[in-house]
Amino acid sequence: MWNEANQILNQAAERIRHGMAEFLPGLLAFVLVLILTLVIAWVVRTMVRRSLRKFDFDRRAAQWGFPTLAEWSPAKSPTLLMARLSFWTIVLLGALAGLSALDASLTNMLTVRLFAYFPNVVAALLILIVGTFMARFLARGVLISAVNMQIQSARLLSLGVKWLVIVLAGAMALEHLGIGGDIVRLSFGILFGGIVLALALAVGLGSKEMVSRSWERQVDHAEEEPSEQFHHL
Amino acid sequence: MAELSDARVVAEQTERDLERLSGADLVVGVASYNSAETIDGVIAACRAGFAGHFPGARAVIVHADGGSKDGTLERARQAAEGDPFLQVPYSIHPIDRLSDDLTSMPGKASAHQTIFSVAQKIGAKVCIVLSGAVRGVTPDRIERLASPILEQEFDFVAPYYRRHKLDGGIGKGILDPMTRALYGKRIRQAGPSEFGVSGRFADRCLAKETWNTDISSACGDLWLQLQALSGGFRICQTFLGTKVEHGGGSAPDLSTILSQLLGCLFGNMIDNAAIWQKTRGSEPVPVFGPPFESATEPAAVNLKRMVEAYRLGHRDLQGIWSMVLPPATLLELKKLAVRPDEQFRLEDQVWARTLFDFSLAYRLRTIGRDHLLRAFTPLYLGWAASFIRQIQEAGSEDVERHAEELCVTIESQKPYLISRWRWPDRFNP
Repeated sequence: MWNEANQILNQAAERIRHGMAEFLPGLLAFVLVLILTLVIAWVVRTMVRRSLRKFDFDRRAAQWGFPTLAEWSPAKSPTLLMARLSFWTIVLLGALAGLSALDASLTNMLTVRLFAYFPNVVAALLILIVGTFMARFLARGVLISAVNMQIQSARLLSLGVKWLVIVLAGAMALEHLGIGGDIVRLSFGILFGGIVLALALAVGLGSKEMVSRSWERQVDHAEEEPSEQFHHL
Repeated sequence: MAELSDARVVAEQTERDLERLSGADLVVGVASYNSAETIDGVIAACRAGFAGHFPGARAVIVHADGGSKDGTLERARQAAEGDPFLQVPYSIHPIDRLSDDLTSMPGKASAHQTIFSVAQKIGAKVCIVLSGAVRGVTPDRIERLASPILEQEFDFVAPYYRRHKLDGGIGKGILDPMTRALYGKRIRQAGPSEFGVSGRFADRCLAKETWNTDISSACGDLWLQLQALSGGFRICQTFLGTKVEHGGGSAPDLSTILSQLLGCLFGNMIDNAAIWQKTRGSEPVPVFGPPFESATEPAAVNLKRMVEAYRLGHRDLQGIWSMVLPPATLLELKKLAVRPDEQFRLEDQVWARTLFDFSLAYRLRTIGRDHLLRAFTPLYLGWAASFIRQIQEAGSEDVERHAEELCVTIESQKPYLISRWRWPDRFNP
């Protein structure tokens, strides 16, 4: 009996040794991949930081209409934010690649699924970035045009356009990430439909008198104002 | 109509006509696009001008048309009645048909280019350009625009019109003082729609690759005048009487006009920075013809609305202006916004620096150029309200004095422009 117990223990020890022998090279490979990734990430971070500083990215980001980017950034520098973002993206990708070296079915499956999902994340980020740019550009255009048309609520109009585009871009990004699914689409349908219906009801029923008074005021105002008899050009 | 629809036939016909007309002294180019109501009047004035003032000269009328569909071509041919006359088509890009051109004549730069090309092929010494879409063109205009070139070898003859004292604010406040400060020529009413040029100047313009690009097509007249100024050509002005207004079409809005003209001016500043930075002081340009004073009878003007437009711009466009203008200028603009209507006056120096800073922002692309130029509109209205307030009750001489004072101030601020232009980050008062 003692012999049998000894044999079982030996077999268990053998299995552990065998397992260790199989796992350790994978672990070593994982550590090596991680070290290599850290080195690459560090190089990329330095390069990104230097090139963006040379490009005067901090000032340009504010000029392009992203003054708040500085507030979210470490040391109020969008350059540092971009450098750190590139560093951690590479580290994350390297860690995922390293995990596959461990040769465990679970980590392998996780890696494959994460890698398959990664393009969606990139596309969603791209949509968000382009959407934010578009929102800023359109909002600025609307603001200037509205001011030149002497519309008193120009800023409100511009703000409305900005958030409309941002929310639309956000919804598109969420759909790309597969988050929310039909709920996002439905909420948008309901939200936009609701806004249009509310406006139609407000103008058609509730604010009928207010709108007519406003029109009358505008017509009276135009009649009161003398037509200008000179040319700017 | 039929012959203009077939490009090959046109080309052959035009070549034959060009050979026949070769060696003419004077070319009068008339540009048109759906101008049937006015074209015959312009061509009749040209013929009367030739007969009355240049009876011995070989003169040709070149009618450049952008594809009119309203019978302009037939009416022009009938009006020419056998005089040396050539009809040439000019191309209009589809985008030009949609654009709000300053004169409601799409592809005007292309028309000018076509007229200059014909003048070059004919070997004309003088080329006069008129718009076919204007009323009230008189025969003596041909003589007044052509004589300084034929007799005194000037290269560019710009018109000087009799206008109301309140008219032409963009010229008085921006184009005249800016061109004077930049190129040292005291030219008035810059950006004319009718002018005369020498063959030498036409050749030079045709060699320019930038002609008929985005900048020049939007305001071809100003572009040509700026080419003459920056190219060191001999420029003069001639009195042409009352300015004739355009025969048809709707005028574009003020911010479109401003963005086109400022885009043209600032674009020229970028191209010719080396030239204008060397230019010091200014000199008057010769003016021909009997002088006259500007009209001073009272005219309806809504100053309150202009001031309100400025205040609204100051309130809502602060974020954009602060990217363009230095703190000292912003402070002055803020003071102006809170000033009561009766004390509303924008100092000439602040206006000069504002103009210069916008030109710099255009060059540096601080924000999108179209946005930048359109964001200038409330500032212009503020200046215009301030200027009109000063001259509203003034006589002709006082109006001239105010305009001259502004020009002198802008000229005196040129070192500021040069410093900002050279060191935009280091020199930021």
